[in-house]
Amino acid sequence: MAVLFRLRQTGRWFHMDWVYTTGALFRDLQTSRVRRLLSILGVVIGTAAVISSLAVVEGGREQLRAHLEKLGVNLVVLEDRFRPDIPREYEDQLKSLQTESVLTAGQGYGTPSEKIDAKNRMHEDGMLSGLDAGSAAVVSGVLRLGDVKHLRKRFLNATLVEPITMQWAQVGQVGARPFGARVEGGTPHGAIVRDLRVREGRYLLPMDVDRSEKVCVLGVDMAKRLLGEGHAVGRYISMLGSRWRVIGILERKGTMMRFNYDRLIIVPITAMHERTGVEVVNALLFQARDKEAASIIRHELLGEVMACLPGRMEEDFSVFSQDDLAEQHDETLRTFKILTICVAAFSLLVSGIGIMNIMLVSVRERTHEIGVWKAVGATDLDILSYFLAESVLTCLLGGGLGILLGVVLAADATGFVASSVAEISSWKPIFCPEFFVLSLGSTVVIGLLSGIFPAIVAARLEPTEALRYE
Amino acid sequence: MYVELSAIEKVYRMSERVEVPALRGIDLSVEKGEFVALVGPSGCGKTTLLSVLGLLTWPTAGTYCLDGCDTRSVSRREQAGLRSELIGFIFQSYNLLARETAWRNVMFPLTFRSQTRGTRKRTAMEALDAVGLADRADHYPSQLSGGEQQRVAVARALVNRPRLLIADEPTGNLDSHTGKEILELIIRLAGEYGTSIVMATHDLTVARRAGRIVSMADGGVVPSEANG
Repeated sequence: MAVLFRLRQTGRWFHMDWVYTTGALFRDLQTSRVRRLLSILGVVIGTAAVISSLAVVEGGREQLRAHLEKLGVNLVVLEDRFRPDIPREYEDQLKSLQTESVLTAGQGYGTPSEKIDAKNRMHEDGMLSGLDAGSAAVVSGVLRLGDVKHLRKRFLNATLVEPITMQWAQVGQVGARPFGARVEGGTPHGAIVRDLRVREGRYLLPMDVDRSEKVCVLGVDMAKRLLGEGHAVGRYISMLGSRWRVIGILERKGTMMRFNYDRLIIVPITAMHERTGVEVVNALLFQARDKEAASIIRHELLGEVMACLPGRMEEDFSVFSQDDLAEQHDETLRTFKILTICVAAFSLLVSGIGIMNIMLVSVRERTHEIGVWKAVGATDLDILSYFLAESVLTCLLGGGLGILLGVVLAADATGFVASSVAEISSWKPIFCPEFFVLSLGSTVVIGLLSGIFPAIVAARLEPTEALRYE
Repeated sequence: MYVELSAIEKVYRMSERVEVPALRGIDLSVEKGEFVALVGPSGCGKTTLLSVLGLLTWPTAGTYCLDGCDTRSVSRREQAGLRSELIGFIFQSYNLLARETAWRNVMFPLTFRSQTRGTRKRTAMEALDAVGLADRADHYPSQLSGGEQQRVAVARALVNRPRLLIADEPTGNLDSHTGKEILELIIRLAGEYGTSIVMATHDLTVARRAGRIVSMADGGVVPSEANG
């Protein structure tokens, strides 16, 4: 009676000494090693997936931040995506506008319904920075250099408003076989807005634009393809039916806003208009004074452009800022993250079943031993916690291996993901401490979930039954 | 009266319809320090009775008073505590933990008691010394002979100084000489500690060493002159 009274007084739920038991536990973990390792394979893979995807996404976000900063600060871009097929009746008309040797890729610029003398029109509008477009023809319904002047006045919170004309053309070294390339008609400040830097030679100068000089600035890769490894500045290339002098080579920049600056050819916008015979602006680059101004421009720009171009559809234009780009990429990364975490969670869940299986085997193999434990005084809770601990430790082992694998995988995965998120060539995975806590935490949870049933089975065994089991 | 069983019944339910009675109304009492031998043919319920006595299973009916308290009122957790404090077990097949050394096997029951680790180890070594195996403390069960393993089991059963020792055919797996040694060891140590012994056996020479022989047959106690 005295003993029972004392037991009721102390009321300990655990009778076991954990220091002793831990030793036993680690010895037990070394039993059936192959089976145990196989059963934790899922945990290893799941944890590796969690760790590597988190690290890749975090690295990607960091990379993106750096990338967007490189793009230029507070940039807002307006793009005119209107590229209608030119009706056949106008095609000849259009061709006559262009010098015979111009090799365009067949892009039209709206309907050339009214032809106004370009020179007069430009003088009426008052050409920006004294541009003289020479002999370029004007088609209606598209942005023209005059509109740039207007928008510059309208958006005083933009420090720079720079027009761009894009054109596919056949280019080649003089006398050599030509190939298709993207040619940009730009302005001197276009470099500032996008933070383009010249590695060799110089960028466009106002003078080049004013005089429609046949000069060009090449991206690194383009220079190499056109003119080889040697010195490129001062040499000539052939495109749009004339010879262009190379005045500069850009620093390596990579892909931004869907095109690769390393493969670009930049010429004065006026010279481009003159050679193609059509005065058109495909895109406008705004450099806002600050972040707030960027947001205002972003929201008001489209309305203003629509006012300039009656009859055009809003859907033809796209306006986006750096924030939009950041958001868009964040979205991609988030989707990737959610996807991999779902896969990882599924794999962890499935592996939980594997763990439960090996735990049931473990309980069955040690049924006799459980009987002995109970005979010498182990409580149900002692047995329960022992098997739970075994299950959690097994899972943690898998989690640890998974982290190692994940760290290795993350490096490779970045390369793979980088190819799916354009504009970001490669990045380094970033590991935050909370990733490890999170993944180990989830393996502990899996260990508990998969261990609880076998542990209850073990705890509920009747001692006699257990002792009789062989 | 230290142990008192009255009208104990145990029925094993194999399924909804099939019930196998193992004990049919057992009355038995064991005095403090008494040595009771249970004899009878296989399947007569000796082991089941020992399980009931050792709180390893629960009787279907009847009352079992241990150390003055009715065990029906005791929870599973408290039963584990009573096993730990009051009862020691010796089995025919030793039932040592194969992955533990001899002294850790002996110490194992102590790990369920609140004692310091130093005390535990010392107590375990003393118990091993008492069964004459102090020099084999670091051996694993597989490195010991059958007799030595049973000595370790005796040390483990008595390391807690239990009031009741339950022994199920402790000499059954041993040759007669070793069996006799083990039996004498159990009797000597139990006598030192004032421990009551209930031992099931087939061997009449073993049974004759007991203070009282209880014959069992078919789940019941056979009345005889010896137990009046």
